[in-house]
Amino acid sequence: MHKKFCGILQTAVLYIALASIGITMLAPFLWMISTSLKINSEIFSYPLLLLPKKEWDFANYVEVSNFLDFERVFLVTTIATVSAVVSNLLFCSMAGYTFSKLNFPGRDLLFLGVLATLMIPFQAIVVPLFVLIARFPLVGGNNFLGQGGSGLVNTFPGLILPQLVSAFGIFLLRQFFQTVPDELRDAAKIDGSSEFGIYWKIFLPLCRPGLAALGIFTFLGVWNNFMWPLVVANTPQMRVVQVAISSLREQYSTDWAYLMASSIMAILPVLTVFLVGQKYFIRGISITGIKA
Amino acid sequence: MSRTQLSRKESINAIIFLAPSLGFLLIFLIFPILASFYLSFTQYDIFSPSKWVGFRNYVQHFSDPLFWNSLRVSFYFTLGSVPARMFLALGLAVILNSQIKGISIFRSLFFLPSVASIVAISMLWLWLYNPSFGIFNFILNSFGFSSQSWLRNPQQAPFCLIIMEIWRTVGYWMIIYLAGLQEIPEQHYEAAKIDGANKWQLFLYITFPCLIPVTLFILVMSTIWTLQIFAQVYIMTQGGPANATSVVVHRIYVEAFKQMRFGYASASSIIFFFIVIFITFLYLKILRTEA
Repeated sequence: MHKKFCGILQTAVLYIALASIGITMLAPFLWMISTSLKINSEIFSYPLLLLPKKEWDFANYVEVSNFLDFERVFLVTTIATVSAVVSNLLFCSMAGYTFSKLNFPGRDLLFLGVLATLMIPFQAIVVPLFVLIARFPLVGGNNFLGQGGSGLVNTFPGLILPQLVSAFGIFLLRQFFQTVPDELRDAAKIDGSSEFGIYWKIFLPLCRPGLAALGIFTFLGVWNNFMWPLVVANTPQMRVVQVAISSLREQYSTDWAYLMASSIMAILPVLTVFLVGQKYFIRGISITGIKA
Repeated sequence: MSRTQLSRKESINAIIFLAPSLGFLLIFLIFPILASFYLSFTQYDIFSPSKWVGFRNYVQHFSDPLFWNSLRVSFYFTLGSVPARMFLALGLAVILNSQIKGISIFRSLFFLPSVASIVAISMLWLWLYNPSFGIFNFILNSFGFSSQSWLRNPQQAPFCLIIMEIWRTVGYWMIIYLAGLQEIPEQHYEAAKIDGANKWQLFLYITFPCLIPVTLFILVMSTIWTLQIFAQVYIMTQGGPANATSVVVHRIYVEAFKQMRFGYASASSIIFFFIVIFITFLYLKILRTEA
Protein backbone atom coordinates (compact mmCIF):
# COMPACT_ATOMS: atom_id res chain seq x y z
CA MET A 1 0.00 0.00 0.00
CA HIS A 2 2.76 2.35 1.02
CA LYS A 3 4.78 1.31 -2.02
CA LYS A 4 1.90 2.04 -4.38
CA PHE A 5 1.49 5.51 -2.90
CA CYS A 6 5.21 6.15 -3.37
CA GLY A 7 4.91 5.02 -6.96
CA ILE A 8 2.04 7.38 -7.68
CA LEU A 9 3.83 10.24 -5.93
CA GLN A 10 6.93 9.62 -7.99
CA THR A 11 4.96 9.63 -11.24
CA ALA A 12 3.18 12.82 -10.21
CA VAL A 13 6.47 14.57 -9.45
CA LEU A 14 7.83 13.40 -12.78
CA TYR A 15 4.86 14.79 -14.65
CA ILE A 16 5.06 18.10 -12.81
CA ALA A 17 8.74 18.39 -13.68
CA LEU A 18 8.10 17.58 -17.33
CA ALA A 19 5.16 19.92 -17.54
CA SER A 20 7.15 22.79 -16.03
CA ILE A 21 9.97 22.34 -18.50
CA GLY A 22 7.45 21.99 -21.30
CA ILE A 23 5.83 25.27 -20.33
CA THR A 24 9.25 26.92 -20.18
CA MET A 25 9.90 25.80 -23.75
CA LEU A 26 6.49 26.76 -25.07
CA ALA A 27 5.62 29.95 -23.18
CA PRO A 28 8.05 32.31 -24.95
CA PHE A 29 6.55 31.31 -28.29
CA LEU A 30 3.04 31.92 -27.03
CA TRP A 31 4.13 35.34 -25.79
CA MET A 32 5.56 35.96 -29.23
CA ILE A 33 2.25 35.16 -30.90
CA SER A 34 0.38 37.27 -28.38
CA THR A 35 2.62 40.26 -29.06
CA SER A 36 2.26 39.86 -32.80
CA LEU A 37 -1.51 40.14 -32.52
CA LYS A 38 -1.56 43.32 -30.44
CA ILE A 39 -1.76 46.89 -31.57
CA ASN A 40 1.06 49.14 -30.42
CA SER A 41 -0.81 50.77 -27.59
CA GLU A 42 -1.38 47.37 -26.07
CA ILE A 43 2.21 46.23 -26.53
CA PHE A 44 3.51 49.20 -24.57
CA SER A 45 0.87 49.17 -21.92
CA TYR A 46 1.67 48.59 -18.28
CA PRO A 47 0.96 46.23 -16.59
CA LEU A 48 1.58 43.80 -19.42
CA LEU A 49 -1.44 42.31 -21.09
CA LEU A 50 -1.40 38.57 -21.44
CA LEU A 51 -3.70 38.51 -24.42
CA PRO A 52 -4.71 41.23 -26.84
CA LYS A 53 -7.68 43.01 -25.34
CA LYS A 54 -9.30 44.82 -28.21
CA GLU A 55 -9.23 42.58 -31.23
CA TRP A 56 -6.76 40.04 -32.43
CA ASP A 57 -4.99 42.22 -34.91
CA PHE A 58 -3.80 40.17 -37.84
CA ALA A 59 -3.05 43.38 -39.67
CA ASN A 60 0.51 43.24 -38.35
CA TYR A 61 1.14 40.12 -40.39
CA VAL A 62 -0.20 41.68 -43.57
CA GLU A 63 1.66 44.93 -43.04
CA VAL A 64 5.04 43.39 -42.35
CA SER A 65 4.64 41.05 -45.32
CA ASN A 66 4.15 44.03 -47.57
CA PHE A 67 6.85 46.07 -45.92
CA LEU A 68 9.47 43.36 -46.32
CA ASP A 69 8.12 42.09 -49.66
CA PHE A 70 7.62 38.63 -48.25
CA GLU A 71 6.29 37.39 -51.56
CA ARG A 72 9.73 37.82 -53.06
CA VAL A 73 11.57 36.85 -49.88
CA PHE A 74 9.70 33.60 -49.44
CA LEU A 75 10.23 32.80 -53.11
CA VAL A 76 13.96 33.30 -52.80
CA THR A 77 14.13 31.23 -49.63
CA THR A 78 12.02 28.43 -51.09
CA ILE A 79 14.09 28.21 -54.26
CA ALA A 80 17.30 28.05 -52.24
CA THR A 81 15.94 25.47 -49.81
CA VAL A 82 14.33 23.16 -52.37
CA SER A 83 17.42 23.24 -54.57
CA ALA A 84 19.62 22.34 -51.64
CA VAL A 85 17.33 19.52 -50.53
CA VAL A 86 17.06 17.93 -53.97
CA SER A 87 20.77 18.29 -54.63
CA ASN A 88 21.75 16.88 -51.24
CA LEU A 89 19.39 13.92 -51.54
CA LEU A 90 20.64 13.05 -55.01
CA PHE A 91 24.39 13.54 -54.72
CA CYS A 92 24.85 12.50 -51.09
CA SER A 93 22.95 9.27 -51.70
CA MET A 94 25.08 8.52 -54.75
CA ALA A 95 28.20 9.06 -52.67
CA GLY A 96 26.84 7.17 -49.67
CA TYR A 97 25.89 4.25 -51.89
CA THR A 98 29.35 4.22 -53.46
CA PHE A 99 31.17 4.30 -50.14
CA SER A 100 28.98 1.57 -48.76
CA LYS A 101 28.53 -0.89 -51.61
CA LEU A 102 31.23 -0.36 -54.18
CA ASN A 103 34.77 -1.64 -53.81
CA PHE A 104 37.65 0.35 -55.17
CA PRO A 105 41.18 1.16 -54.06
CA GLY A 106 41.40 3.93 -51.48
CA ARG A 107 37.71 3.81 -50.66
CA ASP A 108 38.01 3.88 -46.88
CA LEU A 109 40.77 6.48 -46.90
CA LEU A 110 38.66 8.70 -49.12
CA PHE A 111 35.68 8.30 -46.81
CA LEU A 112 37.88 9.28 -43.88
CA GLY A 113 38.84 12.36 -45.88
CA VAL A 114 35.18 13.24 -46.32
CA LEU A 115 34.64 12.85 -42.58
CA ALA A 116 37.66 15.05 -41.95
CA THR A 117 36.00 17.93 -43.80
CA LEU A 118 33.33 17.89 -41.10
CA MET A 119 35.97 19.48 -38.89
CA ILE A 120 36.04 22.60 -41.05
CA PRO A 121 33.62 25.06 -39.46
CA PHE A 122 31.76 27.28 -41.87
CA GLN A 123 33.00 30.36 -40.05
CA ALA A 124 36.58 29.47 -40.96
CA ILE A 125 35.79 29.54 -44.68
CA VAL A 126 33.11 32.23 -44.92
CA VAL A 127 35.70 34.84 -45.90
CA PRO A 128 37.37 32.97 -48.79
CA LEU A 129 34.01 31.55 -49.85
CA PHE A 130 32.76 35.10 -50.24
CA VAL A 131 35.87 36.01 -52.18
CA LEU A 132 35.34 32.98 -54.41
CA ILE A 133 31.77 34.02 -55.14
CA ALA A 134 32.54 37.72 -55.57
CA ARG A 135 35.57 37.16 -57.76
CA PHE A 136 34.02 34.44 -59.90
CA PRO A 137 35.39 34.97 -63.40
CA LEU A 138 33.25 36.11 -66.29
CA VAL A 139 30.04 36.83 -64.36
CA GLY A 140 28.51 39.89 -62.74
CA GLY A 141 30.84 42.31 -64.43
CA ASN A 142 34.02 40.38 -63.71
CA ASN A 143 36.74 39.88 -66.26
CA PHE A 144 38.28 36.44 -66.74
CA LEU A 145 40.53 37.06 -63.72
CA GLY A 146 37.48 37.78 -61.62
CA GLN A 147 38.18 41.43 -61.09
CA GLY A 148 36.07 44.49 -61.58
CA GLY A 149 32.53 43.51 -60.74
CA SER A 150 30.61 41.72 -58.05
CA GLY A 151 30.61 38.22 -59.49
CA LEU A 152 27.88 36.00 -58.13
CA VAL A 153 27.08 38.18 -55.13
CA ASN A 154 23.35 38.79 -54.80
CA THR A 155 22.51 36.05 -57.28
CA PHE A 156 20.81 32.70 -56.90
CA PRO A 157 23.91 30.65 -57.80
CA GLY A 158 25.98 32.64 -55.31
CA LEU A 159 23.45 32.02 -52.59
CA ILE A 160 22.76 28.38 -53.35
CA LEU A 161 25.98 26.80 -54.64
CA PRO A 162 27.81 26.45 -51.32
CA GLN A 163 24.80 24.70 -49.81
CA LEU A 164 24.22 22.00 -52.42
CA VAL A 165 26.18 19.15 -50.83
CA SER A 166 27.07 18.38 -47.24
CA ALA A 167 29.69 15.98 -45.93
CA PHE A 168 27.29 15.18 -43.14
CA GLY A 169 24.75 14.02 -45.72
CA ILE A 170 27.28 11.65 -47.26
CA PHE A 171 28.09 10.27 -43.82
CA LEU A 172 24.45 9.88 -42.79
CA LEU A 173 23.36 8.09 -45.98
CA ARG A 174 26.38 5.84 -46.02
CA GLN A 175 25.43 4.68 -42.54
CA PHE A 176 21.90 3.99 -43.77
CA PHE A 177 23.13 2.08 -46.80
CA GLN A 178 25.30 -0.04 -44.52
CA THR A 179 22.12 -1.48 -43.06
CA VAL A 180 21.00 -2.78 -46.46
CA PRO A 181 22.44 -6.22 -47.29
CA ASP A 182 25.19 -6.36 -49.90
CA GLU A 183 23.67 -9.48 -51.42
CA LEU A 184 20.92 -7.41 -53.02
CA ARG A 185 23.50 -5.79 -55.21
CA ASP A 186 25.15 -9.08 -56.15
CA ALA A 187 21.79 -10.53 -57.10
CA ALA A 188 20.93 -7.51 -59.22
CA LYS A 189 24.30 -7.66 -60.96
CA ILE A 190 23.69 -11.25 -61.92
CA ASP A 191 20.43 -10.10 -63.45
CA GLY A 192 22.44 -7.71 -65.58
CA SER A 193 21.45 -4.39 -64.03
CA SER A 194 23.61 -1.32 -64.55
CA GLU A 195 25.19 0.26 -61.48
CA PHE A 196 22.92 3.26 -61.69
CA GLY A 197 19.92 1.00 -62.12
CA ILE A 198 20.81 -0.91 -58.97
CA TYR A 199 21.26 2.30 -57.07
CA TRP A 200 18.13 4.00 -58.38
CA LYS A 201 15.65 1.13 -58.44
CA ILE A 202 16.75 -1.07 -55.55
CA PHE A 203 18.84 0.69 -52.92
CA LEU A 204 17.42 4.18 -53.01
CA PRO A 205 13.82 3.12 -52.28
CA LEU A 206 15.10 1.02 -49.37
CA CYS A 207 16.71 4.09 -47.90
CA ARG A 208 13.57 6.18 -47.47
CA PRO A 209 13.99 6.85 -43.73
CA GLY A 210 17.54 8.03 -44.31
CA LEU A 211 16.47 10.24 -47.20
CA ALA A 212 13.62 11.64 -45.12
CA ALA A 213 16.01 12.41 -42.27
CA LEU A 214 18.53 14.11 -44.55
CA GLY A 215 15.79 15.98 -46.37
CA ILE A 216 14.50 17.45 -43.14
CA PHE A 217 17.99 18.24 -41.84
CA THR A 218 18.82 20.05 -45.07
CA PHE A 219 15.52 21.90 -45.13
CA LEU A 220 16.03 23.10 -41.57
CA GLY A 221 19.65 23.97 -42.16
CA VAL A 222 19.12 25.99 -45.31
CA TRP A 223 15.86 27.68 -44.32
CA ASN A 224 17.33 28.76 -40.97
CA ASN A 225 20.76 29.64 -42.35
CA PHE A 226 21.72 33.20 -41.52
CA MET A 227 25.41 33.99 -41.81
CA TRP A 228 25.97 32.94 -45.43
CA PRO A 229 22.86 34.66 -46.87
CA LEU A 230 23.66 37.75 -44.78
CA VAL A 231 27.09 37.96 -46.32
CA VAL A 232 26.30 37.09 -49.94
CA ALA A 233 22.72 38.18 -50.64
CA ASN A 234 21.56 41.26 -48.78
CA THR A 235 19.43 43.40 -51.08
CA PRO A 236 15.65 43.71 -50.84
CA GLN A 237 15.36 41.85 -54.13
CA MET A 238 17.60 39.06 -53.10
CA ARG A 239 17.46 37.97 -49.51
CA VAL A 240 16.11 35.10 -47.49
CA VAL A 241 13.56 35.26 -44.71
CA GLN A 242 16.09 35.31 -41.87
CA VAL A 243 18.03 38.22 -43.36
CA ALA A 244 14.83 40.12 -44.15
CA ILE A 245 13.70 39.90 -40.54
CA SER A 246 17.07 40.98 -39.23
CA SER A 247 16.83 44.11 -41.37
CA LEU A 248 13.90 45.20 -39.20
CA ARG A 249 16.26 45.30 -36.27
CA GLU A 250 18.46 47.85 -37.90
CA GLN A 251 15.81 50.52 -37.84
CA TYR A 252 16.02 53.28 -35.27
CA SER A 253 12.71 52.47 -33.66
CA THR A 254 12.02 48.78 -33.35
CA ASP A 255 8.50 47.82 -34.31
CA TRP A 256 8.04 44.86 -32.03
CA ALA A 257 4.73 43.78 -33.49
CA TYR A 258 6.29 43.57 -36.95
CA LEU A 259 9.32 41.78 -35.52
CA MET A 260 7.23 39.17 -33.74
CA ALA A 261 4.84 38.69 -36.63
CA SER A 262 7.59 38.25 -39.20
CA SER A 263 9.51 35.90 -36.92
CA ILE A 264 6.42 33.72 -36.49
CA MET A 265 6.02 33.59 -40.25
CA ALA A 266 9.65 32.56 -40.59
CA ILE A 267 9.23 29.73 -38.09
CA LEU A 268 5.98 28.28 -39.45
CA PRO A 269 7.34 26.41 -42.51
CA VAL A 270 10.12 24.82 -40.49
CA LEU A 271 7.73 23.93 -37.71
CA THR A 272 5.39 22.26 -40.18
CA VAL A 273 8.16 20.23 -41.78
CA PHE A 274 9.42 19.22 -38.37
CA LEU A 275 6.03 18.17 -37.01
CA VAL A 276 5.29 16.11 -40.10
CA GLY A 277 8.66 14.38 -40.26
CA GLN A 278 9.89 14.42 -36.65
CA LYS A 279 10.04 10.66 -36.44
CA TYR A 280 12.68 10.55 -39.21
CA PHE A 281 14.45 13.64 -37.99
CA ILE A 282 14.87 12.37 -34.46
CA ARG A 283 16.03 9.02 -35.74
CA GLY A 284 18.60 10.79 -37.89
CA ILE A 285 19.97 12.76 -34.96
CA SER A 286 20.10 9.65 -32.80
CA ILE A 287 22.21 7.87 -35.38
CA THR A 288 24.84 10.59 -35.36
CA GLY A 289 25.16 10.23 -31.61
CA ILE A 290 25.34 6.45 -31.59
CA LYS A 291 27.78 5.94 -34.43
CA ALA A 292 30.19 8.43 -32.92
CA MET B 1 34.63 -10.27 -68.03
CA SER B 2 37.85 -10.94 -66.18
CA ARG B 3 38.39 -10.05 -62.54
CA THR B 4 40.53 -7.00 -63.32
CA GLN B 5 38.08 -5.79 -65.94
CA LEU B 6 35.26 -6.03 -63.40
CA SER B 7 37.16 -4.14 -60.74
CA ARG B 8 38.20 -1.47 -63.20
CA LYS B 9 34.58 -1.04 -64.23
CA GLU B 10 33.68 -0.74 -60.56
CA SER B 11 36.32 1.93 -60.02
CA ILE B 12 35.09 3.91 -63.00
CA ASN B 13 31.52 3.71 -61.71
CA ALA B 14 32.74 4.84 -58.32
CA ILE B 15 34.45 7.86 -59.84
CA ILE B 16 31.32 8.84 -61.75
CA PHE B 17 29.10 8.45 -58.71
CA LEU B 18 31.44 10.34 -56.43
CA ALA B 19 32.36 13.11 -58.84
CA PRO B 20 29.51 15.56 -58.12
CA SER B 21 29.60 15.43 -54.32
CA LEU B 22 33.37 15.13 -53.89
CA GLY B 23 33.98 17.75 -56.54
CA PHE B 24 31.66 20.00 -54.64
CA LEU B 25 33.45 19.38 -51.34
CA LEU B 26 36.72 20.14 -53.09
CA ILE B 27 35.56 23.48 -54.50
CA PHE B 28 33.45 24.77 -51.63
CA LEU B 29 35.17 23.31 -48.58
CA ILE B 30 38.76 22.29 -49.21
CA PHE B 31 39.68 25.05 -51.64
CA PRO B 32 38.31 27.78 -49.33
CA ILE B 33 40.21 26.55 -46.28
CA LEU B 34 43.41 26.51 -48.34
CA ALA B 35 42.54 29.94 -49.70
CA SER B 36 42.01 31.05 -46.12
CA PHE B 37 45.61 30.10 -45.38
CA TYR B 38 46.80 32.02 -48.38
CA LEU B 39 44.69 35.10 -47.67
CA SER B 40 45.89 35.18 -44.07
CA PHE B 41 49.34 36.13 -45.38
CA THR B 42 47.99 38.99 -47.46
CA GLN B 43 46.39 42.35 -47.10
CA TYR B 44 43.22 42.29 -49.15
CA ASP B 45 40.27 44.62 -49.33
CA ILE B 46 38.63 42.73 -52.25
CA PHE B 47 38.57 45.74 -54.55
CA SER B 48 42.27 46.04 -55.22
CA PRO B 49 44.56 43.04 -55.81
CA SER B 50 45.92 41.32 -52.71
CA LYS B 51 49.28 42.29 -51.28
CA TRP B 52 51.61 39.75 -49.70
CA VAL B 53 52.57 40.72 -46.14
CA GLY B 54 53.94 37.50 -44.70
CA PHE B 55 53.27 36.91 -41.01
CA ARG B 56 52.30 40.48 -40.28
CA ASN B 57 48.61 39.67 -39.76
CA TYR B 58 49.43 37.00 -37.18
CA VAL B 59 51.87 39.25 -35.36
CA GLN B 60 49.21 41.95 -35.21
CA HIS B 61 46.79 39.46 -33.70
CA PHE B 62 49.13 39.07 -30.74
CA SER B 63 48.74 42.70 -29.83
CA ASP B 64 45.08 43.01 -30.78
CA PRO B 65 43.09 43.48 -27.56
CA LEU B 66 39.78 43.07 -29.38
CA PHE B 67 40.83 39.66 -30.68
CA TRP B 68 41.99 38.40 -27.29
CA ASN B 69 38.79 39.74 -25.80
CA SER B 70 36.76 37.79 -28.36
CA LEU B 71 38.60 34.58 -27.47
CA ARG B 72 37.92 35.22 -23.80
CA VAL B 73 34.24 35.94 -24.45
CA SER B 74 33.81 32.84 -26.64
CA PHE B 75 35.41 30.55 -24.06
CA TYR B 76 33.53 32.13 -21.19
CA PHE B 77 30.35 31.64 -23.13
CA THR B 78 31.20 28.00 -23.86
CA LEU B 79 32.22 27.26 -20.27
CA GLY B 80 29.03 28.86 -19.06
CA SER B 81 26.63 27.00 -21.28
CA VAL B 82 28.05 23.56 -22.12
CA PRO B 83 28.22 21.86 -18.69
CA ALA B 84 24.88 23.24 -17.53
CA ARG B 85 23.23 22.27 -20.78
CA MET B 86 24.66 18.74 -20.74
CA PHE B 87 23.53 18.24 -17.17
CA LEU B 88 20.02 19.43 -18.03
CA ALA B 89 19.90 17.36 -21.21
CA LEU B 90 20.91 14.21 -19.35
CA GLY B 91 18.36 14.85 -16.62
CA LEU B 92 15.56 15.39 -19.12
CA ALA B 93 16.58 12.31 -21.08
CA VAL B 94 16.56 10.16 -17.96
CA ILE B 95 13.10 11.42 -17.03
CA LEU B 96 11.77 10.88 -20.54
CA ASN B 97 13.26 7.40 -20.64
CA SER B 98 11.05 6.16 -17.85
CA GLN B 99 7.95 4.44 -19.11
CA ILE B 100 5.39 7.19 -18.82
CA LYS B 101 2.72 8.18 -21.25
CA GLY B 102 2.93 11.13 -23.57
CA ILE B 103 6.69 10.90 -24.07
CA SER B 104 6.59 11.90 -27.72
CA ILE B 105 4.63 15.06 -26.96
CA PHE B 106 7.16 16.18 -24.36
CA ARG B 107 10.01 15.19 -26.62
CA SER B 108 8.68 17.36 -29.43
CA LEU B 109 7.98 20.21 -27.02
CA PHE B 110 11.51 20.22 -25.63
CA PHE B 111 12.89 20.02 -29.11
CA LEU B 112 10.82 22.93 -30.41
CA PRO B 113 13.30 25.73 -29.66
CA SER B 114 16.06 23.90 -31.59
CA VAL B 115 13.91 23.85 -34.69
CA ALA B 116 13.02 27.52 -34.79
CA SER B 117 15.55 29.72 -36.51
CA ILE B 118 18.18 31.49 -34.43
CA VAL B 119 17.06 34.79 -35.94
CA ALA B 120 13.48 34.34 -34.79
CA ILE B 121 14.60 33.25 -31.34
CA SER B 122 17.02 36.16 -31.07
CA MET B 123 14.20 38.57 -31.82
CA LEU B 124 12.01 36.84 -29.27
CA TRP B 125 14.56 37.00 -26.48
CA LEU B 126 15.46 40.55 -27.41
CA TRP B 127 11.84 41.33 -26.66
CA LEU B 128 11.86 39.26 -23.47
CA TYR B 129 14.95 41.08 -22.24
CA ASN B 130 13.61 44.53 -23.12
CA PRO B 131 14.23 46.69 -20.04
CA SER B 132 10.95 48.61 -20.25
CA PHE B 133 8.42 46.21 -21.71
CA GLY B 134 10.09 42.83 -21.56
CA ILE B 135 8.36 40.12 -19.62
CA PHE B 136 11.40 39.24 -17.50
CA ASN B 137 11.50 42.64 -15.85
CA PHE B 138 7.75 42.56 -15.53
CA ILE B 139 7.98 39.32 -13.58
CA LEU B 140 10.81 40.70 -11.44
CA ASN B 141 8.79 43.82 -10.66
CA SER B 142 5.77 41.77 -9.72
CA PHE B 143 7.86 40.12 -7.02
CA GLY B 144 9.23 43.41 -5.81
CA PHE B 145 12.63 43.27 -7.50
CA SER B 146 13.95 46.17 -9.55
CA SER B 147 14.25 46.07 -13.30
CA GLN B 148 17.55 44.95 -14.80
CA SER B 149 19.10 46.30 -17.96
CA TRP B 150 19.99 42.79 -19.13
CA LEU B 151 21.52 43.16 -22.59
CA ARG B 152 22.54 46.76 -21.94
CA ASN B 153 24.64 45.73 -18.94
CA PRO B 154 28.16 44.43 -19.72
CA GLN B 155 28.13 42.02 -16.77
CA GLN B 156 24.67 40.66 -17.43
CA ALA B 157 24.68 40.51 -21.22
CA PRO B 158 26.85 37.35 -21.60
CA PHE B 159 24.78 35.64 -18.93
CA CYS B 160 21.59 36.55 -20.80
CA LEU B 161 22.91 34.98 -23.98
CA ILE B 162 24.01 31.88 -22.11
CA ILE B 163 20.54 31.34 -20.67
CA MET B 164 18.99 31.78 -24.08
CA GLU B 165 21.43 29.36 -25.66
CA ILE B 166 20.78 26.68 -23.05
CA TRP B 167 17.03 27.09 -23.51
CA ARG B 168 17.39 26.90 -27.26
CA THR B 169 19.55 23.79 -27.60
CA VAL B 170 19.00 21.57 -24.57
CA GLY B 171 16.28 19.64 -26.44
CA TYR B 172 18.65 18.70 -29.24
CA TRP B 173 21.25 17.16 -26.93
CA MET B 174 18.51 15.54 -24.89
CA ILE B 175 17.50 13.59 -27.99
CA ILE B 176 21.03 12.25 -28.37
CA TYR B 177 21.21 11.30 -24.70
CA LEU B 178 17.85 9.61 -25.07
CA ALA B 179 19.16 7.54 -27.96
CA GLY B 180 22.20 6.63 -25.88
CA LEU B 181 20.02 5.60 -22.95
CA GLN B 182 17.89 3.40 -25.15
CA GLU B 183 20.96 1.63 -26.44
CA ILE B 184 21.81 0.27 -22.99
CA PRO B 185 20.79 -3.39 -22.98
CA GLU B 186 17.97 -4.23 -20.63
CA GLN B 187 19.86 -7.29 -19.38
CA HIS B 188 22.41 -5.12 -17.60
CA TYR B 189 19.65 -3.66 -15.46
CA GLU B 190 17.98 -7.02 -14.93
CA ALA B 191 21.18 -8.61 -13.70
CA ALA B 192 21.93 -5.74 -11.33
CA LYS B 193 18.39 -5.73 -9.95
CA ILE B 194 18.70 -9.42 -9.17
CA ASP B 195 21.83 -8.59 -7.20
CA GLY B 196 19.73 -6.13 -5.23
CA ALA B 197 20.86 -2.78 -6.66
CA ASN B 198 18.69 0.26 -5.97
CA LYS B 199 17.89 3.10 -8.38
CA TRP B 200 20.92 5.21 -7.57
CA GLN B 201 23.32 2.28 -7.86
CA LEU B 202 21.76 1.34 -11.17
CA PHE B 203 22.41 4.84 -12.46
CA LEU B 204 25.94 5.15 -11.09
CA TYR B 205 27.28 1.75 -12.04
CA ILE B 206 25.40 0.94 -15.23
CA THR B 207 23.77 3.95 -16.85
CA PHE B 208 26.54 6.46 -16.39
CA PRO B 209 29.46 4.29 -17.55
CA CYS B 210 27.49 3.21 -20.62
CA LEU B 211 26.83 6.85 -21.43
CA ILE B 212 30.46 7.92 -21.40
CA PRO B 213 31.00 7.72 -25.20
CA VAL B 214 27.80 9.67 -25.87
CA THR B 215 28.73 12.20 -23.20
CA LEU B 216 32.12 12.70 -24.78
CA PHE B 217 30.51 13.15 -28.18
CA ILE B 218 28.03 15.70 -26.87
CA LEU B 219 30.77 17.50 -24.95
CA VAL B 220 32.92 17.99 -28.02
CA MET B 221 30.14 18.74 -30.50
CA SER B 222 28.37 21.24 -28.26
CA THR B 223 31.68 22.90 -27.39
CA ILE B 224 32.57 23.36 -31.05
CA TRP B 225 29.10 24.58 -31.96
CA THR B 226 28.93 27.01 -29.05
CA LEU B 227 32.30 28.47 -30.03
CA GLN B 228 30.81 29.17 -33.45
CA ILE B 229 27.83 31.32 -32.46
CA PHE B 230 27.27 34.43 -34.49
CA ALA B 231 23.64 35.22 -35.28
CA GLN B 232 22.52 35.92 -31.72
CA VAL B 233 25.38 38.33 -31.14
CA TYR B 234 24.89 40.06 -34.50
CA ILE B 235 21.18 40.58 -33.93
CA MET B 236 20.93 41.15 -30.20
CA THR B 237 24.04 43.00 -29.11
CA GLN B 238 26.39 43.57 -32.08
CA GLY B 239 29.18 42.43 -29.77
CA GLY B 240 28.39 44.96 -27.09
CA PRO B 241 27.88 46.47 -24.65
CA ALA B 242 31.53 47.42 -24.49
CA ASN B 243 32.54 44.24 -26.36
CA ALA B 244 31.16 42.10 -23.56
CA THR B 245 29.56 39.72 -26.05
CA SER B 246 32.01 40.05 -28.91
CA VAL B 247 32.59 36.42 -29.81
CA VAL B 248 35.29 35.24 -32.22
CA VAL B 249 33.04 34.71 -35.23
CA HIS B 250 31.47 38.13 -34.81
CA ARG B 251 34.97 39.56 -34.70
CA ILE B 252 35.79 37.78 -37.98
CA TYR B 253 32.62 39.15 -39.52
CA VAL B 254 33.42 42.72 -38.49
CA GLU B 255 37.02 42.51 -39.64
CA ALA B 256 36.05 41.16 -43.06
CA PHE B 257 32.71 42.69 -43.95
CA LYS B 258 32.69 45.92 -42.01
CA GLN B 259 36.37 46.87 -42.05
CA MET B 260 37.08 45.21 -45.41
CA ARG B 261 40.25 43.60 -44.01
CA PHE B 262 39.90 40.21 -45.66
CA GLY B 263 43.50 39.20 -45.06
CA TYR B 264 43.38 40.00 -41.37
CA ALA B 265 40.01 38.29 -41.00
CA SER B 266 41.41 35.19 -42.71
CA ALA B 267 44.17 35.06 -40.11
CA SER B 268 41.50 35.20 -37.40
CA SER B 269 39.64 32.41 -39.20
CA ILE B 270 42.74 30.23 -39.35
CA ILE B 271 43.47 30.71 -35.65
CA PHE B 272 39.84 29.82 -34.93
CA PHE B 273 40.10 26.81 -37.24
CA PHE B 274 43.13 25.50 -35.37
CA ILE B 275 41.35 25.86 -32.05
CA VAL B 276 38.50 23.70 -33.40
CA ILE B 277 40.95 21.14 -34.81
CA PHE B 278 42.79 21.01 -31.50
CA ILE B 279 39.58 20.29 -29.60
CA THR B 280 38.61 17.63 -32.13
CA PHE B 281 41.98 15.90 -31.81
CA LEU B 282 41.75 15.99 -28.03
CA TYR B 283 38.41 14.24 -28.38
CA LEU B 284 39.71 11.60 -30.78
CA LYS B 285 42.68 10.96 -28.50
CA ILE B 286 40.46 10.51 -25.44
CA LEU B 287 38.14 8.30 -27.48
CA ARG B 288 41.04 6.07 -28.48
CA THR B 289 42.31 5.69 -24.92
CA GLU B 290 38.77 4.97 -23.77
CA ALA B 291 38.45 2.11 -26.24
